[in-house]
Amino acid sequence: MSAIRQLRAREPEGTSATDPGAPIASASDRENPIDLLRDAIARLKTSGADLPDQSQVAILLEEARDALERANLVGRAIEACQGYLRESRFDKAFEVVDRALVAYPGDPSLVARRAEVESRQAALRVASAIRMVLEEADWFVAQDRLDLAVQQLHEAVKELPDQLTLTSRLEDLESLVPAWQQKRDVQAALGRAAALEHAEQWQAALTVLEEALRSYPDSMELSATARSVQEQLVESERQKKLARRLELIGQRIAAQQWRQAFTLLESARKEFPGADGLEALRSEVDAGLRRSDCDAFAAEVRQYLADGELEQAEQSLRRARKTLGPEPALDVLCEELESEKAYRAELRTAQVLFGKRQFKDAETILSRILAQDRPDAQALLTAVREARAATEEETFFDSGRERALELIQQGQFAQAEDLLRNLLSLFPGNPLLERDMKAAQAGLAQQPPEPAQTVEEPEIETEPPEPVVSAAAPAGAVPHENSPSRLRRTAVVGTASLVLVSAGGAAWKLSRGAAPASRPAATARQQMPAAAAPAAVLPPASPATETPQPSATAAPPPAIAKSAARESNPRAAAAHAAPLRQFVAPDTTQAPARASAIPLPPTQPVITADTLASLPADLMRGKVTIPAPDAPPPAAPQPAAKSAPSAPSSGGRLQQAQLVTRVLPAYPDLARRSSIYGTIRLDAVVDETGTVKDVKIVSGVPVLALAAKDAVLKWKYKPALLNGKPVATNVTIQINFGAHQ
Amino acid sequence: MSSHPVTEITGQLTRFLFGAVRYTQREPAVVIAVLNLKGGCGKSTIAINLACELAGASDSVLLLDNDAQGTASHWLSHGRLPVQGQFMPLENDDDGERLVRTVAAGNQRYVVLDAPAHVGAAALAAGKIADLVLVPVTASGIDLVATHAVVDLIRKARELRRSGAPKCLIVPSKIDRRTDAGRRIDEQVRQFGEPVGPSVHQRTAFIEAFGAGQWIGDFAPQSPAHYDITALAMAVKRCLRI
Repeated sequence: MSAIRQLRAREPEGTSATDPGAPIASASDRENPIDLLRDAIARLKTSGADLPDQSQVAILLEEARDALERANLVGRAIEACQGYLRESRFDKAFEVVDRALVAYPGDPSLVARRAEVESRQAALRVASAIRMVLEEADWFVAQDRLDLAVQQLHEAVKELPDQLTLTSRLEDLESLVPAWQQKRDVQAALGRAAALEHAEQWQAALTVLEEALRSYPDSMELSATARSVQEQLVESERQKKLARRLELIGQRIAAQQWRQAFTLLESARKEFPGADGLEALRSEVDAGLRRSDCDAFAAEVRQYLADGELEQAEQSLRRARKTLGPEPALDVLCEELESEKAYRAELRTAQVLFGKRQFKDAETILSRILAQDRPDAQALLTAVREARAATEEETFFDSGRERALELIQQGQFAQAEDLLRNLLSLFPGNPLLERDMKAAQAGLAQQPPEPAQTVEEPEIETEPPEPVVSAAAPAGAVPHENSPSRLRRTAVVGTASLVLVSAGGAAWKLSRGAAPASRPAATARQQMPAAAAPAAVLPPASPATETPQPSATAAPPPAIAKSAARESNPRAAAAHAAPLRQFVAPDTTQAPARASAIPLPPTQPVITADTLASLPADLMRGKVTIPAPDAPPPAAPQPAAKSAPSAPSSGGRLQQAQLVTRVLPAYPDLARRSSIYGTIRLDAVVDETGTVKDVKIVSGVPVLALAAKDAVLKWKYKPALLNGKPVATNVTIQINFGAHQ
Repeated sequence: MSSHPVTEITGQLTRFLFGAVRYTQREPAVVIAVLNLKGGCGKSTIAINLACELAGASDSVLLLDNDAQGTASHWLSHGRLPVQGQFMPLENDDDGERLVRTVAAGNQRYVVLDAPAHVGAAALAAGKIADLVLVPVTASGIDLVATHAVVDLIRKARELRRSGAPKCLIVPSKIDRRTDAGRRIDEQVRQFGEPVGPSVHQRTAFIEAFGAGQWIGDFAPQSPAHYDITALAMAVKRCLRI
């Protein structure tokens, strides 16, 4: 019993050792009382059975030991838990407590400790949650998303209702929200407006801004932007309108509707003064308008030109100039008109020259104006060329035949035959040539072959006169008797030369063509003198030459040939041949000189005073043109030069007066102002010294004629030479005062 | 009315151009080639004298000496001929082009080509551009053979050109009727089937004129020799007209 008491007495020691910390210390102090208890229990058990209540004691002791162990373990667990709690390692704390609870479930101190751990953990969680929320809110605020921060806080407050920090922060932020919202809305509106402005959607931008302004009417920024957008809207509308106008005008321009374009442009310019595009278009439209006017005038002028109504064309052009002022196109037109005028004038000149049988000059003029592709000029040129060629051939025929006859007379039959053969190759079958040929061949046969063919003599001017031949060569004696057909031919030739202003070659061809037509010889014979007389200015002595005369020469064939040539030569028979010959051979006067040896004065070529050597080529081209004056026969200043057989009969060689110095006449101011122009013809005498005297005005406007006369008096000539001696001559001078000086 | 300077200049320019256009268009020159494949048949004599004769009728004439021998040029070099001349020997096709350009660039009424005596660029060029080919033929038998070749050449050119050009004129040259050959020449040249022109006779005047550097019309006017040339010129003109 004492033991139990002992034990029990000790028991409170043991139980008292349940006080935290104490049991361990006491145990260690007492060298582990549990071990001691265990030892005691073991001793009891071994000593066993002598003590009645031994088992009881052992049980008590075991109980004591268990209690001690429990107190010990719980105490340690709580201690560890406390340590973990201090380090906020809740999981470890739970682990320790829960393990202890497994050993001693429902231990109140352990349960209490666990609850404590749980509450501590919860508190910590809340605190960290709040901190996070606040941090997030701050971040949102920093990101200028106040709305999100507020939202976040609201949610947090809902979850953690009584957290003062949260609610106060929420209140703070909520008070900031309206200002922030406004700023944000304004910014958004401005941004959208800016984007729309950028897209030039002025109206949409304005709408956006106006909506924003309705919410925030006092935002300066918004109202300023709205104003500027409004301005830009107006401006853009203006620009669009202008662009539409420009497009419209452009369409009119493209359609060449200059009038409409001009009207549109004028109204647009009134509306949009100083717009660049308009000014550019204006010059274009002006130019176009001008051009169209110009075209209209040009068409008119060209029509007149085509109709050949030069006067009207000029008037129209003048009107155009008055309306449009200086204009290159008009200049071109003017040039065309001038050229047309010049062309007409030159064509007229050429026609005149053609009429005067001055073919070479006509041809020169025509080939110059032919460049313009004119059918009339082309036709005239062809005619002129034909006439010229015919004239040349005729001249050649005549002179060649004459030369052949001379050669026959000189007994140079071989030479004559060569020449005649060539002539015949050009004029095949010509009976005159054939007859001459026969004569030459006959002569050749009679004559013993020449030992050596002498070189032909070039100086035929010094041809000796052959009075015998001349006297014995009356015209047309033999043809009468022998050959009526030949006579008919000559008659036809005479007629032809009257009718046609044509050359001998052509006439001869004609005569050949007419020969088969069986015309009675008698009528032809009667016609011949009658027809030839007026044309040839034959003196009454002419018929007398037809009377047959015996030939007194020793060589009849040449004489016959020669006389036949004289008679049947259409050129020589016609008076118009005079200027012709002069033209064709102006400086080779051998033909007249040679012809003078033959007593056929009426048919002599006469140099007439009225043949103008040349009309000015550039008649209307603004120059004073002075034709080379013509030289009348040497028979002094007698106007009746045509009927002056004395000149050729004197047998002299005439060299015409040649112009050495010419002075251009001054175009009188009065004439210039009154637009007087025209052609002046003067008759003058060039004396032996080459000085111009006795100037007489033949035709022309007096004011110009006086100027021309003054000028002509200053002219200097190389005097005309008759047989090398200077003589006084008549000259006719023509001066053109062009229209455009 | 005072005109604006720019307008004035434009106007002047227009007038200038207008004038230029107006006077640059003109009739093409008539090209006469004197051609035979045989030398010494009087080509240069005929070419020179014909050119001068044509010029004497106051038509402007250009004489192109295509013969490397330069006979015509030598003749011209004395400066006593009334024609312009140019020495232009033709060796290849480029030269032919040059010839064509020269002819086209000139403003003469007639261009006379004095071609060398062989088939070459000159003969071909002549075939291409000539309106008329004069073929001088002497009375010698050799000449007649060579003439066949030329006539063939001309006919080929005529086929190619299809315009009837070049026309052909046979010119009996250096003819002396005192000889048998001289008397027979007319019948002989007729065999070519081409027109026959007036004869140019064997005359010392031609030789003397050459020595004097003159053409026959200046050296011995109105002489039979001159009449030969005049007749030839007549025949040429007639030939060109038809």
